[in-house]
Amino acid sequence: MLDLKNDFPVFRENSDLCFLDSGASAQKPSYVIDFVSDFYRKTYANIHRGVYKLSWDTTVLYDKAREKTAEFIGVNNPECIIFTKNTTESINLVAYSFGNTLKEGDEIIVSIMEHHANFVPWQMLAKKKGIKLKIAYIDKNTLELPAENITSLITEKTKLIALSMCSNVLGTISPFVEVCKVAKEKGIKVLLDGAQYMPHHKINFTELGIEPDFVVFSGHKLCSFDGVGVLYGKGELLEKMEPFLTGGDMIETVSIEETTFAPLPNKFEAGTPPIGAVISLLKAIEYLENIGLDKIEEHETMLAKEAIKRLKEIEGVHVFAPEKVSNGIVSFTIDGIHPHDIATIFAEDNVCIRAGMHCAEPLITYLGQDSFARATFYLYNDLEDVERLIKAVKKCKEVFRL
Amino acid sequence: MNIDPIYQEVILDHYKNPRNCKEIEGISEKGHNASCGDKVEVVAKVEDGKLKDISVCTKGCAICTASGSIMSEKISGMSIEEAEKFIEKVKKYLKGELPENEFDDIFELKALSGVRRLPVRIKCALLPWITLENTLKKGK
Repeated sequence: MLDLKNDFPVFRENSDLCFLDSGASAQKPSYVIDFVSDFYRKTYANIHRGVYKLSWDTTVLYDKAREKTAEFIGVNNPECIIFTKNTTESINLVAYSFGNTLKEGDEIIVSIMEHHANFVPWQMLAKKKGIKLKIAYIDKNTLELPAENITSLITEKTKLIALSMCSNVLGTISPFVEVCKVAKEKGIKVLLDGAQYMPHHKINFTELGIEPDFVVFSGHKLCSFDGVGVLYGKGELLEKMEPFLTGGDMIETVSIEETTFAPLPNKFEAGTPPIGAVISLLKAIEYLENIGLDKIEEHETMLAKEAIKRLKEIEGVHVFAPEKVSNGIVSFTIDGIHPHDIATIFAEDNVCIRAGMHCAEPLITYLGQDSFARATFYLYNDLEDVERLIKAVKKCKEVFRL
Repeated sequence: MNIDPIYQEVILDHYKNPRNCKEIEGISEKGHNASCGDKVEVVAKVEDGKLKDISVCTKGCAICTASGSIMSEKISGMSIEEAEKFIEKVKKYLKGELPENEFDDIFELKALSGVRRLPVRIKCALLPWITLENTLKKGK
């Protein structure tokens, strides 16, 4: 079992903290914080511009982060890694720039379990261009998403499948491997939203033998600072796509009449990027890899399974998870208590969970619910946190005289 | 932070048995907290410058539901002018802009005062009042 609380200063600063909201954003280890703080003290300058040492050293670190990120997901071309602000911006970039190549009558498939980040941009694009947005539904009983629920929606007009690798509400893993394979045969592009998948699982797209066209995720959910997101895109697609944001740093030449654009990746990184956050991503990936993504997955899955087992023993508690649990996401409801009241009562005992729609309103509505309470376990949680969760649930029932 | 003063008997009672969610004719308006999903629908029956009857239907947390239910009991029968002043005062009270003892005479509202110490939950308690405010504006 992992025992990592000492690596994370937040647990020293808040002695009684039971943090079960890593699905929203993960805490940061000293390994990341100290390096970046040192970097700002000793090295910081803008990248790509200065000929002096500080700028050069910063640029080297920034480029190293790009190489590390490519290696982290198992792709061979670091220039196809674009740093954005977050997953949301990465998807908006694709919806804008790749979306420009789509036309009226084309079709896009998403699943019902998408985060709003991978739903609203496509809905907007569909309305703007007369594209048909098709929804692949999960099985309401098993909470699984069978591949055929997606592939059966494919027609000759399907141009893109935008699919979450893991539901942020249910923890359901989508059949992204199969979908990528089917899509490739049919020449359909695939965007994989890895925001909830990447921090918890080892993945190597090259070894897996699938070639998603776009992969997006955020740094902050995998222990980097907030403010950096990732877009991986296939070179041939990124080359053809128009820039999303324009201005400084993304140009080749600018005249009064015309602008030509810089080669990848700079074409998609206009303006000064979040340099410190990008460097924090480098260190965060190093930190997670030192521990081992497989060990992290095993650890949080063990905690989630224990929590689910214990929650199910309590009368009136309903857990919404697929049978095969493989990460730390545990969504639940308690009969007669609204999730916001649950989270408020939890907060009194310093147990941090999230309550509400979790930016997945179509899914919550589809499941016939108004709201969920969600506890998420990560590498620094332990069995004591499970105890705290169970105790807090029992307290909720007492407070509500249930 | 002490929770129990919020989830006290009177609040739980109004949550479990919300008053005045009923079918009436009148001006209606919906309110919604996008972040948490709380939903309120208010129908106000206005006659001769008076709030003759009110329906408040809530789908949400204990604080929002109880607040709406309490509002329906306290505000019915007031003149529009009185109601507007009352809403304004309650809003200020819930936001902590009036002294804690301001509603010592209305124990249900005093019971709601616990949200003053929970900044993220104030909006739950405010939603029915803001929705009624919008309903009355719509009637003008």
